[in-house]
Amino acid sequence: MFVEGERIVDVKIRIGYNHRGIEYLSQRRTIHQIPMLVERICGICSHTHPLCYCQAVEEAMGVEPPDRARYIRTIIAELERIHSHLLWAGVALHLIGYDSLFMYFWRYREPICMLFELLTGNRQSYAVNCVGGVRRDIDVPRHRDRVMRTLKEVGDGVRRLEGMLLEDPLVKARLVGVGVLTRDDARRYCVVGPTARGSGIPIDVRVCEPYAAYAEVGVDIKVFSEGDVMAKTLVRVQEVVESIEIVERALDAMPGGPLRAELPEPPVSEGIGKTEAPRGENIHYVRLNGTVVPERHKVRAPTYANIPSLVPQLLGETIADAPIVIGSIDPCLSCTDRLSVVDAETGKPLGITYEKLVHMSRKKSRRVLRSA
Amino acid sequence: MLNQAFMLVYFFAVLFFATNAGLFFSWIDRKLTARLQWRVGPPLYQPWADFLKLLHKEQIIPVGAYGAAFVLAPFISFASVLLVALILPVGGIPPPFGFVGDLIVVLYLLAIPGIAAMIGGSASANPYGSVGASREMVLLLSYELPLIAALFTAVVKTGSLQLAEILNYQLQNGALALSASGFVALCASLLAIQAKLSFAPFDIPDAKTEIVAGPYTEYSGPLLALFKLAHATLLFVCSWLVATVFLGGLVVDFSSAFSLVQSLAVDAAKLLAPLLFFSVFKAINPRAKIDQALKWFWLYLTAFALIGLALAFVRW
Repeated sequence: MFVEGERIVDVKIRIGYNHRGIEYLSQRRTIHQIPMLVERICGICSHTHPLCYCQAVEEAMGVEPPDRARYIRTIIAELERIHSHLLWAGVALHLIGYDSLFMYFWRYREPICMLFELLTGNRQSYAVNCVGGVRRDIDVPRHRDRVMRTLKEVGDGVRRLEGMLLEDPLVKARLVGVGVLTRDDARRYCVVGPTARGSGIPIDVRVCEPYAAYAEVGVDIKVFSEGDVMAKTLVRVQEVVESIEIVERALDAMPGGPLRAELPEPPVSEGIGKTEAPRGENIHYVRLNGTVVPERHKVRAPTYANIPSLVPQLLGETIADAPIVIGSIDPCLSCTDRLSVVDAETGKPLGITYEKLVHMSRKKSRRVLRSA
Repeated sequence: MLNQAFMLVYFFAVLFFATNAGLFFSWIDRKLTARLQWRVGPPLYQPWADFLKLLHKEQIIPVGAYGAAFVLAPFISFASVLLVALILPVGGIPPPFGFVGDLIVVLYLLAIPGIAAMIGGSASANPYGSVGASREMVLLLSYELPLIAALFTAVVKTGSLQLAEILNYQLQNGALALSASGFVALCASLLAIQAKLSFAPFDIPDAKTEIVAGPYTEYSGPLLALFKLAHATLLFVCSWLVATVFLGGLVVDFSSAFSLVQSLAVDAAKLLAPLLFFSVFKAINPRAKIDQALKWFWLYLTAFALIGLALAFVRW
């Protein structure tokens, strides 16, 4: 990001080289071990990655997961969307310095995490998916009341907070008309998920290419045409309400039957899995070579598709807007970047360089070692 | 000689009292904000613990920083706040450091913490520091005019530039906030001081999600502790100033044990009222942008404060 005074004059996207080796690891494990690995790509969307991977392998093997498994996958995926969007809303409000509403949104995220603990045993990383179905049943008669009660509490709370967001004049001043991504730019940069839906493009994998039980349960996608940060915020807040309704419908319509399908011997084949992660379209590609170890596994998380669109969104805005604009695509920065400050006129890095940092770190380590 | 001894005792009493009261006020602020945000909040000793911890931490002066200014800035900030605490009068105790026109000096001194932050930020050789310093300067220029207009409403009402006289006037005629012009001026000064304290929505110079800590980015250890202490004391001193000029002032009545307790309780309430406003207003607002704050102060708050001043001239 290049600035003159408070104004942003140029933006260069540099994705960091924090290499995590997920794909390398994946190509050295059996297809049944990989869900546990890809679950750890991201701590926030820890259902959508294994789900997406399992769909890819199922496609390669020609297996259909049983009905009950598809419903359970849907319920967990939507609960994940609720918690992820509420988490995002809190962080976004923190970015504009509104810490009270940040805490309120997270207060309503907490019951959802408790629900996860009740249904899966974990607050995050639910370990629900396996190739061909799910590992864990949801005991509907036993948990239905508790789930419905929590969803109602969260739904009411979020609607109230949405009202507070819409009425606050200073929130409006910070979000309306800021970081606009026009419909044309959104198409040009091929954005996905809430970022696209906030710019008036009605794409959603749940609707366009329904997976799990979405075709039966039905999804009403939320689209706003303004393209500013406010539109992206409203998309997410309203999707929380929509997701709550989806979970309620899915719980009531849950069919019986087995949890996982019989798997054939791994064929020589390939498959693509697509899911709508909270941040947008998530894609896993798996190529099988007839063994239980995949020959190639490629992951494309939604943030990777959305990050380039920050260029038109940031240009001409001020430093004060940068955090919320960057935040508005809900970037999953766990693997993105460190920061360096560069003089725009000379192109020289200001402050500390990488070599200097390494040198200093080594010096410090030696000092610590000596004194120990 | 006796007078000088009294001044010395008064100096140390104020030094001790203002800093500790400041840390206590910052605790109230943090606790209240936490409760409003559905959180538990820190224990009472937290501000002291933070201060002592910072004193023991390593002091880093960045390479390329202008060392003298970088080191002096927190001292300047703290000294100016302390001077204001020395000048502010308490009814019932003869003010040893008060003089004619001390209100103007207080106004100048209260601008210095902002200027010290600018000096420190500019001297720290850090881009966030310089952005923070430039924002601090714009913010200072925005809120000073309404603050001056608001405080001069009190001058017009009471006919004196001396804080002790303003206090005495209120002791005889009731608090200024009870008159129309006084109330307008109170509101305007509270909002201007909100910016002086860099509380939300005006926490723009040290906006943590935008520019790390603005001018304070490079500060660490004892120097940061001093900046924090100056800021905590400023919180207390600003509440004290508002209480003195608009809420009838602090009075210590030594005539009997009961009246002493009663007057101290009323004083505490007067000091806490502005703090309550600052904290709650901070909790219910997001951060404005610097251009929005500038526009808001110059267009609306200045006009509002000038209305108060005009009302004072027609004796409302």
